Amino acid sequence: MAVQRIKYIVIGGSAGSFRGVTKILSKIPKDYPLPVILCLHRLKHVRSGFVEALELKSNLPIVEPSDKMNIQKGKIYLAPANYHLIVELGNTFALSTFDNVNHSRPAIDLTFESSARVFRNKMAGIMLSGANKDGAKGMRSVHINGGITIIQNPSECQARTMPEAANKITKIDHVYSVDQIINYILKIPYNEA
Amino acid sequence: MKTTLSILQYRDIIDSINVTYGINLKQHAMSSLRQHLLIVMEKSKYSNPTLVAKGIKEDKQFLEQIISCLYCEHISLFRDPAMWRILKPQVIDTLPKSVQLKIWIPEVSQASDYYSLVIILKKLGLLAKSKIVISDESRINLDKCKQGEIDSNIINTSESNIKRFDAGDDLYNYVSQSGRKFYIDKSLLKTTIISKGGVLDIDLPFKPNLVLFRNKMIYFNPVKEQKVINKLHKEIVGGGILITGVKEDISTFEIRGKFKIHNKDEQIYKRSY
Repeated sequence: MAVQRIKYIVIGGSAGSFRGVTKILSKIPKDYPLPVILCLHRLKHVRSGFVEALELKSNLPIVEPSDKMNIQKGKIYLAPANYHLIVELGNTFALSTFDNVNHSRPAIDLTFESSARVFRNKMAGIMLSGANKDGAKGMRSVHINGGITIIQNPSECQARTMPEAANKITKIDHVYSVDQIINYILKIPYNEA
Repeated sequence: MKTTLSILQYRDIIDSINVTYGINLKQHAMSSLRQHLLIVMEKSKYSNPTLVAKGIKEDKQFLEQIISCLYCEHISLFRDPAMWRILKPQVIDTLPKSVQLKIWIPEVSQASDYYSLVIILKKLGLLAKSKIVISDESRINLDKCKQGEIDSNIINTSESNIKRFDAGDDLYNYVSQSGRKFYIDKSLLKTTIISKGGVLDIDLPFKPNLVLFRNKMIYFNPVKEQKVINKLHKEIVGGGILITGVKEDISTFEIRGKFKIHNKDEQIYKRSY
């Protein structure tokens, strides 16, 4: 699999994904050169606390992007509470207050679909544990646009619906444990994955 | 079948709206407007780009439908309760005591912020003494505001939010239900001036000292956003307050000499004198 082209990592997760996300963040080194975009289901009315909880484990600061913020290398971005996070042409973020998608705002489908349109074959979409089908259509867009699709192995997920839903409707390139996902992410910039 | 809209098809539709009605949507953020058009297409009989082009030319109601939800918002009353909690101590109380509250809510859209505001002003005993103007490009939206109509989909969250804002309060102190529809107490709306027009085009009946413009600039491209900032600077009186959405950081635009940050967390700005 040609991974030298991968320049963006986009991760979606919901119920049961927190442990996996923090484990991934704890292994990403301070000088990691790619942007990592996280779209995780979270409480809509709670704006503070989640970033801090993730930062406890992360070597890099977590940024909740403002609207129109540029996407930069070596940053970790988290979809803000109660907004959809969309990637715009020109590598900027756009936020929206569209209705919930799959009962969710932020919706993983919208982040994956917009990322796939903009990043095309330069992205890897990673779907972690979750209890609904959000993100499955987005993963299909990632695949259609030439990106790499990875799901957390459902057998180790606390909630397996999300990765299984993605697997049902699109071609998945890799079914990995969290440890394998970490290895993959760490090797991408050095063309070794 | 899933509705689709390529970027070229999107541009054709925007051009067609401009040519047919003189409404320029080119300065709206493309991803959001494209997504919005997809939603409108899915809900209407114009389900593919060819039919949309036909609909725009022949069906003005269809265009009204597009304009009425340009901001695609699905926002509950008292969204961001923390902002509403500091409205009195950090906004209203910082204005000179002798000054009447003059408030403008541009692109009022589904009116969630408008209804939240009048409820607070009523609780503070300030509603009768305040002047409020709401504006929007959409006649449909303004008519709903006039009737006090609330989107039934936001009622449950609004109920929870008002409790987060004030644990002792209850949404139904201000809202009633008629059939499947919900309405805010009309007495809260009677002093409001309703004005049709977009934020850049409107002529205001007074110079506001408070403007609520939350989560609207996210739907503009940077060129229009800067124009809007300039317009708001022109309209708001010196020392007046502009409140934007918590993730609309206008300090990244050219605001030097126009606005200063008043509260960073809630994106509240004070107009320079």
